[in-house]
Amino acid sequence: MPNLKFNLSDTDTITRFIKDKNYINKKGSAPKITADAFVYPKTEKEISMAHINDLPEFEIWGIGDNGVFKNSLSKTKARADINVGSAKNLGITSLTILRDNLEFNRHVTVSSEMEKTEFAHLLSVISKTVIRTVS
Amino acid sequence: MPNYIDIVNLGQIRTCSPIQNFNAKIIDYSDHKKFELCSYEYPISKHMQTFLTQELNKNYKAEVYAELDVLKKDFITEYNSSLPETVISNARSFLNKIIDEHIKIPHIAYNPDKQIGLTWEFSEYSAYLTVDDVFLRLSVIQLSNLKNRDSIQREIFSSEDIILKLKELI
Repeated sequence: MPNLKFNLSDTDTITRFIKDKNYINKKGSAPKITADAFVYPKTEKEISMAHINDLPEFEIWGIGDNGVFKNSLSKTKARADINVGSAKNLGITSLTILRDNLEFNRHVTVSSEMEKTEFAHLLSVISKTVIRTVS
Repeated sequence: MPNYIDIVNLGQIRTCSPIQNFNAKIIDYSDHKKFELCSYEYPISKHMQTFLTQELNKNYKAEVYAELDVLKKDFITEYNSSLPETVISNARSFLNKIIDEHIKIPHIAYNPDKQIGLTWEFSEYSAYLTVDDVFLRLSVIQLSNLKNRDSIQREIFSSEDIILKLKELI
Protein backbone atom coordinates (compact mmCIF):
# COMPACT_ATOMS: atom_id res chain seq x y z
CA MET A 1 0.00 0.00 0.00
CA PRO A 2 1.53 3.36 -0.93
CA ASN A 3 2.21 5.51 2.09
CA LEU A 4 2.79 8.83 0.43
CA LYS A 5 1.31 11.84 2.19
CA PHE A 6 -0.38 14.42 -0.01
CA ASN A 7 -2.82 17.30 0.13
CA LEU A 8 -6.27 16.99 -1.39
CA SER A 9 -7.79 19.40 -3.88
CA ASP A 10 -10.80 21.62 -3.13
CA THR A 11 -13.11 19.48 -5.23
CA ASP A 12 -12.31 16.30 -3.30
CA THR A 13 -14.65 14.73 -0.75
CA ILE A 14 -13.68 13.21 2.57
CA THR A 15 -15.95 11.36 4.96
CA ARG A 16 -16.30 10.39 8.60
CA PHE A 17 -17.75 6.90 9.06
CA ILE A 18 -20.33 6.35 11.80
CA LYS A 19 -21.24 3.11 13.56
CA ASP A 20 -22.71 4.53 16.75
CA LYS A 21 -26.41 5.44 16.57
CA ASN A 22 -25.89 8.14 19.21
CA TYR A 23 -24.04 10.16 16.60
CA ILE A 24 -27.06 10.26 14.30
CA ASN A 25 -29.60 12.90 15.26
CA LYS A 26 -32.94 11.74 13.88
CA LYS A 27 -35.07 14.26 15.70
CA GLY A 28 -34.83 17.02 13.13
CA SER A 29 -36.43 17.24 9.70
CA ALA A 30 -33.62 15.10 8.26
CA PRO A 31 -31.01 12.86 9.93
CA LYS A 32 -27.82 14.71 10.82
CA ILE A 33 -24.46 13.49 12.10
CA THR A 34 -23.82 15.24 15.39
CA ALA A 35 -20.72 17.20 16.28
CA ASP A 36 -19.74 14.50 18.79
CA ALA A 37 -18.87 12.25 15.86
CA PHE A 38 -16.08 14.68 14.94
CA VAL A 39 -14.53 14.97 18.38
CA TYR A 40 -11.27 13.05 18.47
CA PRO A 41 -10.07 11.39 21.69
CA LYS A 42 -7.71 13.17 24.07
CA THR A 43 -5.00 10.71 23.12
CA GLU A 44 -5.01 11.89 19.50
CA LYS A 45 -4.24 15.19 17.82
CA GLU A 46 -6.35 14.74 14.73
CA ILE A 47 -9.50 13.20 13.40
CA SER A 48 -9.44 10.22 11.04
CA MET A 49 -11.50 10.39 7.88
CA ALA A 50 -11.39 8.79 4.44
CA HIS A 51 -10.87 10.11 0.93
CA ILE A 52 -13.80 8.80 -1.13
CA ASN A 53 -13.46 10.42 -4.53
CA ASP A 54 -14.23 8.32 -7.60
CA LEU A 55 -15.38 5.30 -5.61
CA PRO A 56 -18.70 3.47 -6.06
CA GLU A 57 -20.95 3.37 -3.00
CA PHE A 58 -20.19 -0.26 -2.08
CA GLU A 59 -16.47 0.46 -1.99
CA ILE A 60 -17.00 3.55 0.17
CA TRP A 61 -18.98 1.57 2.75
CA GLY A 62 -16.34 -1.15 2.45
CA ILE A 63 -13.69 1.25 3.74
CA GLY A 64 -15.89 1.79 6.79
CA ASP A 65 -16.56 -1.90 7.41
CA ASN A 66 -13.19 -3.37 6.51
CA GLY A 67 -10.86 -0.48 7.35
CA VAL A 68 -12.18 1.89 9.98
CA PHE A 69 -14.29 -0.61 11.92
CA LYS A 70 -12.52 -3.84 10.98
CA ASN A 71 -12.17 -4.86 14.65
CA SER A 72 -15.71 -3.95 15.57
CA LEU A 73 -18.75 -6.22 15.70
CA SER A 74 -21.05 -3.42 14.57
CA LYS A 75 -20.68 -2.13 11.05
CA THR A 76 -20.96 1.25 9.40
CA LYS A 77 -24.38 2.85 9.80
CA ALA A 78 -23.84 6.25 8.21
CA ARG A 79 -21.25 8.73 7.08
CA ALA A 80 -20.68 12.47 7.05
CA ASP A 81 -19.32 13.68 3.71
CA ILE A 82 -17.34 16.91 3.61
CA ASN A 83 -16.16 18.87 0.60
CA VAL A 84 -12.51 19.81 1.12
CA GLY A 85 -13.00 23.28 -0.41
CA SER A 86 -15.90 24.02 1.96
CA ALA A 87 -13.74 23.12 4.94
CA LYS A 88 -10.91 25.36 3.72
CA ASN A 89 -13.31 28.25 3.18
CA LEU A 90 -14.33 28.26 6.83
CA GLY A 91 -11.12 30.01 7.78
CA ILE A 92 -10.29 27.33 10.35
CA THR A 93 -7.01 28.05 12.13
CA SER A 94 -4.16 25.92 10.76
CA LEU A 95 -6.45 23.46 9.03
CA THR A 96 -4.61 20.42 7.73
CA ILE A 97 -6.21 17.75 5.54
CA LEU A 98 -3.70 15.10 4.59
CA ARG A 99 -4.13 11.77 2.80
CA ASP A 100 -1.60 9.30 4.23
CA ASN A 101 -2.98 5.71 3.99
CA LEU A 102 -1.50 5.02 7.44
CA GLU A 103 -4.49 3.41 9.19
CA PHE A 104 -6.16 2.04 6.08
CA ASN A 105 -6.24 2.66 2.38
CA ARG A 106 -7.45 6.21 1.65
CA HIS A 107 -6.94 7.26 5.27
CA VAL A 108 -7.03 11.03 5.80
CA THR A 109 -6.10 13.04 8.89
CA VAL A 110 -7.84 16.34 9.60
CA SER A 111 -6.53 18.68 12.28
CA SER A 112 -6.65 22.28 13.45
CA GLU A 113 -5.42 24.46 16.29
CA MET A 114 -9.01 25.49 16.96
CA GLU A 115 -10.71 24.41 20.22
CA LYS A 116 -11.75 20.90 19.30
CA THR A 117 -15.45 20.89 20.20
CA GLU A 118 -15.93 24.04 18.15
CA PHE A 119 -13.89 22.50 15.34
CA ALA A 120 -16.06 19.39 15.56
CA HIS A 121 -19.20 21.46 15.39
CA LEU A 122 -18.02 23.30 12.27
CA LEU A 123 -17.24 20.02 10.54
CA SER A 124 -20.69 18.75 11.51
CA VAL A 125 -22.40 21.86 10.15
CA ILE A 126 -20.78 21.61 6.71
CA SER A 127 -21.12 17.85 6.44
CA LYS A 128 -23.68 16.03 4.37
CA THR A 129 -25.24 13.06 6.14
CA VAL A 130 -25.55 9.78 4.26
CA ILE A 131 -27.48 6.98 5.97
CA ARG A 132 -26.68 3.44 4.86
CA THR A 133 -29.77 1.89 3.36
CA VAL A 134 -28.52 -1.60 2.49
CA SER A 135 -26.34 -3.96 4.51
CA MET B 1 -46.74 41.68 27.74
CA PRO B 2 -47.66 38.95 30.25
CA ASN B 3 -44.91 37.06 31.92
CA TYR B 4 -44.27 33.59 30.48
CA ILE B 5 -44.64 31.68 33.76
CA ASP B 6 -47.76 33.64 34.67
CA ILE B 7 -49.37 32.47 31.45
CA VAL B 8 -48.57 28.83 32.21
CA ASN B 9 -50.13 29.16 35.63
CA LEU B 10 -53.29 30.92 34.45
CA GLY B 11 -54.99 27.73 33.34
CA GLN B 12 -57.17 29.37 30.74
CA ILE B 13 -57.10 29.90 27.01
CA ARG B 14 -55.35 33.12 26.32
CA THR B 15 -53.10 34.36 23.57
CA CYS B 16 -49.83 35.94 24.36
CA SER B 17 -46.32 36.45 23.01
CA PRO B 18 -44.06 34.91 25.62
CA ILE B 19 -41.14 34.65 23.26
CA GLN B 20 -40.39 36.95 20.39
CA ASN B 21 -42.06 35.78 17.16
CA PHE B 22 -44.04 33.09 18.98
CA ASN B 23 -47.73 33.25 19.80
CA ALA B 24 -49.13 30.87 22.33
CA LYS B 25 -52.24 29.78 24.19
CA ILE B 26 -53.17 27.73 27.21
CA ILE B 27 -55.62 24.88 26.64
CA ASP B 28 -57.39 23.69 29.75
CA TYR B 29 -58.15 19.97 29.54
CA SER B 30 -59.99 18.13 32.28
CA ASP B 31 -56.91 16.37 33.58
CA HIS B 32 -54.13 18.70 32.55
CA LYS B 33 -53.30 22.02 30.99
CA LYS B 34 -51.32 22.37 27.83
CA PHE B 35 -49.39 25.38 26.70
CA GLU B 36 -49.35 25.44 22.92
CA LEU B 37 -47.70 27.55 20.29
CA CYS B 38 -50.26 28.63 17.75
CA SER B 39 -48.00 30.35 15.27
CA TYR B 40 -44.30 30.53 14.68
CA GLU B 41 -41.79 31.20 12.01
CA TYR B 42 -38.61 29.40 12.95
CA PRO B 43 -37.98 25.79 11.87
CA ILE B 44 -37.07 24.74 15.40
CA SER B 45 -40.65 25.37 16.40
CA LYS B 46 -41.62 22.25 14.48
CA HIS B 47 -40.19 20.49 17.48
CA MET B 48 -41.49 23.03 19.94
CA GLN B 49 -45.15 23.19 19.07
CA THR B 50 -46.17 22.22 22.54
CA PHE B 51 -44.86 23.53 25.81
CA LEU B 52 -45.99 21.47 28.75
CA THR B 53 -47.33 22.59 32.07
CA GLN B 54 -45.25 21.87 35.12
CA GLU B 55 -47.23 18.69 35.73
CA LEU B 56 -46.45 17.27 32.30
CA ASN B 57 -42.93 18.61 32.50
CA LYS B 58 -42.28 15.93 35.11
CA ASN B 59 -43.12 13.24 32.56
CA TYR B 60 -40.94 14.93 29.98
CA LYS B 61 -38.06 15.07 32.43
CA ALA B 62 -38.47 11.36 33.07
CA GLU B 63 -38.17 10.72 29.32
CA VAL B 64 -35.02 12.81 29.07
CA TYR B 65 -33.47 11.13 32.10
CA ALA B 66 -34.28 7.75 30.56
CA GLU B 67 -32.43 8.85 27.42
CA LEU B 68 -29.48 9.80 29.59
CA ASP B 69 -29.51 6.31 31.14
CA VAL B 70 -29.46 4.73 27.67
CA LEU B 71 -26.53 6.97 26.82
CA LYS B 72 -24.58 5.72 29.85
CA LYS B 73 -25.11 2.10 28.82
CA ASP B 74 -24.20 2.77 25.19
CA PHE B 75 -20.99 4.48 26.27
CA ILE B 76 -19.93 1.45 28.31
CA THR B 77 -20.68 -0.83 25.36
CA GLU B 78 -18.61 1.25 22.98
CA TYR B 79 -15.64 2.25 25.15
CA ASN B 80 -15.66 -0.42 27.84
CA SER B 81 -15.53 2.31 30.47
CA SER B 82 -18.08 4.57 32.12
CA LEU B 83 -19.04 8.18 31.70
CA PRO B 84 -17.98 9.84 34.99
CA GLU B 85 -20.87 10.28 37.44
CA THR B 86 -19.96 13.96 37.76
CA VAL B 87 -20.57 14.42 34.02
CA ILE B 88 -23.93 12.63 34.24
CA SER B 89 -24.84 14.67 37.28
CA ASN B 90 -23.89 17.97 35.63
CA ALA B 91 -25.75 17.04 32.46
CA ARG B 92 -28.82 16.10 34.48
CA SER B 93 -28.66 19.36 36.40
CA PHE B 94 -28.44 21.42 33.21
CA LEU B 95 -31.13 19.41 31.40
CA ASN B 96 -33.36 20.01 34.40
CA LYS B 97 -32.81 23.74 34.12
CA ILE B 98 -33.56 24.01 30.43
CA ILE B 99 -36.71 21.89 30.71
CA ASP B 100 -37.86 24.23 33.48
CA GLU B 101 -37.23 27.06 31.03
CA HIS B 102 -39.42 25.24 28.49
CA ILE B 103 -36.51 24.84 26.11
CA LYS B 104 -36.89 21.69 24.06
CA ILE B 105 -34.18 19.09 24.66
CA PRO B 106 -32.25 18.43 21.47
CA HIS B 107 -30.45 15.26 20.53
CA ILE B 108 -28.22 13.99 23.32
CA ALA B 109 -24.96 12.26 22.51
CA TYR B 110 -21.55 11.58 24.01
CA ASN B 111 -18.08 11.96 22.62
CA PRO B 112 -14.76 10.15 23.21
CA ASP B 113 -13.71 12.79 25.72
CA LYS B 114 -16.44 11.58 28.07
CA GLN B 115 -18.45 14.73 27.50
CA ILE B 116 -22.17 14.87 26.84
CA GLY B 117 -23.16 16.94 23.83
CA LEU B 118 -26.42 18.69 22.95
CA THR B 119 -27.08 20.09 19.50
CA TRP B 120 -29.74 22.60 18.53
CA GLU B 121 -30.45 23.45 14.91
CA PHE B 122 -32.08 26.83 14.41
CA SER B 123 -33.00 28.45 11.13
CA GLU B 124 -30.04 30.81 11.12
CA TYR B 125 -27.80 29.30 13.77
CA SER B 126 -26.47 26.01 14.95
CA ALA B 127 -25.59 25.63 18.61
CA TYR B 128 -23.53 22.92 20.23
CA LEU B 129 -23.16 22.48 23.95
CA THR B 130 -20.72 20.21 25.71
CA VAL B 131 -21.08 19.24 29.35
CA ASP B 132 -18.22 17.71 31.30
CA ASP B 133 -17.28 17.57 34.96
CA VAL B 134 -16.12 21.20 35.04
CA PHE B 135 -17.50 23.25 32.19
CA LEU B 136 -20.47 23.98 30.05
CA ARG B 137 -19.29 25.20 26.69
CA LEU B 138 -21.69 26.61 24.12
CA SER B 139 -20.59 27.22 20.53
CA VAL B 140 -22.92 29.20 18.32
CA ILE B 141 -22.39 29.21 14.59
CA GLN B 142 -24.15 31.47 12.14
CA LEU B 143 -25.05 29.23 9.22
CA SER B 144 -25.01 31.94 6.57
CA ASN B 145 -21.49 32.87 7.56
CA LEU B 146 -19.66 29.98 9.16
CA LYS B 147 -16.59 32.14 9.68
CA ASN B 148 -18.59 34.29 12.08
CA ARG B 149 -18.44 32.17 15.20
CA ASP B 150 -19.37 32.94 18.73
CA SER B 151 -18.77 30.80 21.72
CA ILE B 152 -19.23 31.28 25.40
CA GLN B 153 -17.86 29.13 28.13
CA ARG B 154 -19.10 29.15 31.68
CA GLU B 155 -18.60 27.07 34.74
CA ILE B 156 -21.22 24.42 35.21
CA PHE B 157 -22.85 26.18 38.16
CA SER B 158 -23.42 29.44 36.29
CA SER B 159 -25.48 28.21 33.36
CA GLU B 160 -27.83 31.21 33.24
CA ASP B 161 -25.83 32.93 30.52
CA ILE B 162 -26.07 29.84 28.36
CA ILE B 163 -29.83 29.60 28.89
CA LEU B 164 -30.17 33.29 28.03
CA LYS B 165 -28.14 32.77 24.87
CA LEU B 166 -30.33 29.83 23.81
CA LYS B 167 -33.49 31.87 24.42
CA GLU B 168 -32.01 34.67 22.37
CA LEU B 169 -31.42 32.23 19.49
CA ILE B 170 -34.94 30.79 19.73
